[in-house]
Amino acid sequence: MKGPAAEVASRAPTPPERPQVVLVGNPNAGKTTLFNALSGSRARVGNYPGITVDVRQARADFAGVGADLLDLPGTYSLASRSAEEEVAVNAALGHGGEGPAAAIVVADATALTRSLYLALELLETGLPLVIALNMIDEVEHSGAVIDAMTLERALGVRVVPIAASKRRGLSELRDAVAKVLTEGTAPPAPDVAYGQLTQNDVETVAALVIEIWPEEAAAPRRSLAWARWALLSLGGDELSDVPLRLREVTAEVRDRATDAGRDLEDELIAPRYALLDTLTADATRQAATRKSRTDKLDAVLLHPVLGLVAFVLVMLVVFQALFSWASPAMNAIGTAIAATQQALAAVLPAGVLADLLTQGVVGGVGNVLVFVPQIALLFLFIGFLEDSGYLARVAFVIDRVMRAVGLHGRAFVPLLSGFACAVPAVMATRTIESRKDRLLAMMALPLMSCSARLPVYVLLITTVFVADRAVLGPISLGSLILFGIYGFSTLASLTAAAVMRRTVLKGERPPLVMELPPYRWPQPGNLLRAVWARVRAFLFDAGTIILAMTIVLWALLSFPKDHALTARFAAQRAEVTSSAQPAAQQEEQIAALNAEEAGAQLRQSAAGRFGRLLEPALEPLGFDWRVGIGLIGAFAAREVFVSTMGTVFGIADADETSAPLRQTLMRARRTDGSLLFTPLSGISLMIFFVFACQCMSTLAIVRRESGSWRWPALLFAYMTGLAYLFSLLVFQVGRALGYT
Amino acid sequence: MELGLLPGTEVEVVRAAPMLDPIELSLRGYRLSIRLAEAALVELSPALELSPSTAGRARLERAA
Repeated sequence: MKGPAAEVASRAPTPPERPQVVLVGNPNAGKTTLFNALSGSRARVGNYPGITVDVRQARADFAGVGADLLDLPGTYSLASRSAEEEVAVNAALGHGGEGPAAAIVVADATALTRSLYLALELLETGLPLVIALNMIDEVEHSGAVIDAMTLERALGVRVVPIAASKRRGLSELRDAVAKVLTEGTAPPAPDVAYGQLTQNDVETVAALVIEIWPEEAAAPRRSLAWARWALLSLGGDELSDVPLRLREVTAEVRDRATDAGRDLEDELIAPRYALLDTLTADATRQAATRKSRTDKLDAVLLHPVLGLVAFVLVMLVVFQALFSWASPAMNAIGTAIAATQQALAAVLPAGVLADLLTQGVVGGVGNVLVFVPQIALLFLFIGFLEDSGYLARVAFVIDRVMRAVGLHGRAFVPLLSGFACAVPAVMATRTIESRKDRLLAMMALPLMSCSARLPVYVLLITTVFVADRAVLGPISLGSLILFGIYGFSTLASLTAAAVMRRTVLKGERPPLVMELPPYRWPQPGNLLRAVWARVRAFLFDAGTIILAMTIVLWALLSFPKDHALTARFAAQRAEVTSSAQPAAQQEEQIAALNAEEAGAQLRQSAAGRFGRLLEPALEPLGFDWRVGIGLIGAFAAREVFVSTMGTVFGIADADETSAPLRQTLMRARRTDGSLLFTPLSGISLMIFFVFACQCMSTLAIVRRESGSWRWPALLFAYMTGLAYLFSLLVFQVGRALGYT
Repeated sequence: MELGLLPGTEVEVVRAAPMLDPIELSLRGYRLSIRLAEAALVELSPALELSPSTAGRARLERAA
């Protein structure tokens, strides 16, 4: 209803912005569960540009006081080294008036001292806060008793025992937050016994903090807190956006202390823990009496032998799921896309527009959607493993092996997923904390032979070898070669990681100091929300790039059109339809003509010409320009190589098991009359596919996850370079040794 | 260090990973995994080597 009333309403002053409340806590403290419980399900996922850290935000009502609730990345302290921690710290502290109005510190009651450490740091900044003592049910179950009142009296803030997963204590928490929001007074400063020398150093840095951010002068507590933050965070960090002056002065102060035989880090942290150790001892009325579920489970899951068996079993299930369980959904998407394309083609008048819509746009949407089943499944598993506590154990069990090539224990699941598809695997590298470790995994895992390479291998093996010839008992030649290729690709991937660790991603390896959280049942709601968040991020960020690339590729493979060719084939078709042959025969001939026309058009398209242009470069590898076109087409996705070869050779509806395509390829000859596909050129081509980054979707997702085009560019360059080099080596050495 | 691995902290070596490295420590009521190379940087009293074979309690003398 657009009327005068609506206009008046839109001119009315906007209501004051809602206050912001941040949720801070250690990883695994149940922050996300509490966020969902407080906000309902209407969360928006914000993404900090460039560093790809997701922060969820939603409106929440605290006993009548409305606020924006922010779920910050988990962190153990305000001292930040990684991008995630930086986001958490900046959002929690802010500069000037930009910070939040209050914080809810989610403390894991089963690890009380460590959880309160973060709360203590926030109290030092003077931010109004409430402590939510989560997992209180687990504490009770263990037989321990924690007295929240003792904590409240000592810290001067409300400490509300809750069990977020059971919705216990939430209304008390809401009331406490509402009170803090309406009063807005800073909590009393905690009485941490820093030494005098330490204080002096902190004040030196604090003076500079005020110089850099003059608005901090208003609250001396905050400038001191920022100074302690700088002393604990800067140096060997991955932070962006830190003023150079602050870095310099901090380093100076720290060096001076070191020269005097002091350890500033120790001097800042130890007094905090000293205070907290006394406090938790006072508040713990009774210690745990029962052996925990985690101890019992770990006795098996981390057992020297049984632990490895369990590890292999869990990983097999994940692998099987990605490899097989996702196929029905992927096939269904493929069928639906094909049906849509047909329906559109039937409705639209034939022409460029129809082709653009069906092959470019609908085809591109298909190229994006086809990844969704694997992404959803992988993140369902990762979410389950992470929330249950087993993902940290995966890293614990396999770290020894991964470390040998410079990878983090947490890189195992992404690397394994790489056998199915690099796109979800690259997304899975988010579970790795350090950016350098994450990039390393991202750069190495696309070398794992993904399932899209399989059709190419199958087509080539069956074309150039007698694939079902038994060589080792029941093992056929084909499966032996396939096995060799998979082994080779794994070796290549691990070697690439080891090399990059020593070159482009050189640097001190971050320590594997990692919490092994207690086992807990994952919350289905949290899992599904996390899966949806990942799928959404893929669709909107990487999906748009994939769609655009599909359209460009389609145009390259379709234009320019040769109108003389079109006219000639139209005339031939008319001849067939007007002939006196039976209808079935006519249809067959028309189909053959269509396939032939598609081949002729493709050969003279931009991609076709580019293929010819590439021929001199491809010849030393044993390929010709037709293979070149196939390689260009395969940039959309590797398996497209098969259908592109079908089109180039004028064979309709070709897949890797199609006999006509295989026979045509077997007979295909170069201009000099020699056979194009020989065992040697076939192996050379397979080696090319092992290495080459023939996948725009991988590039799109690496762009999304790394936050810049630099990394996908490097990925493409090094993989294509290796592909060329190894194919060249195989073909030339093979030929020199007299093989064909 | 901010996880509470400090001088004077009582830690228990719970177990080693199946491939002997890293090891699992228990301190302040929670579990931490740490590589042997990193564990070697901390000193313990009584003179107890942090190694997979020595499960037991110790007090941290000096942190890395």
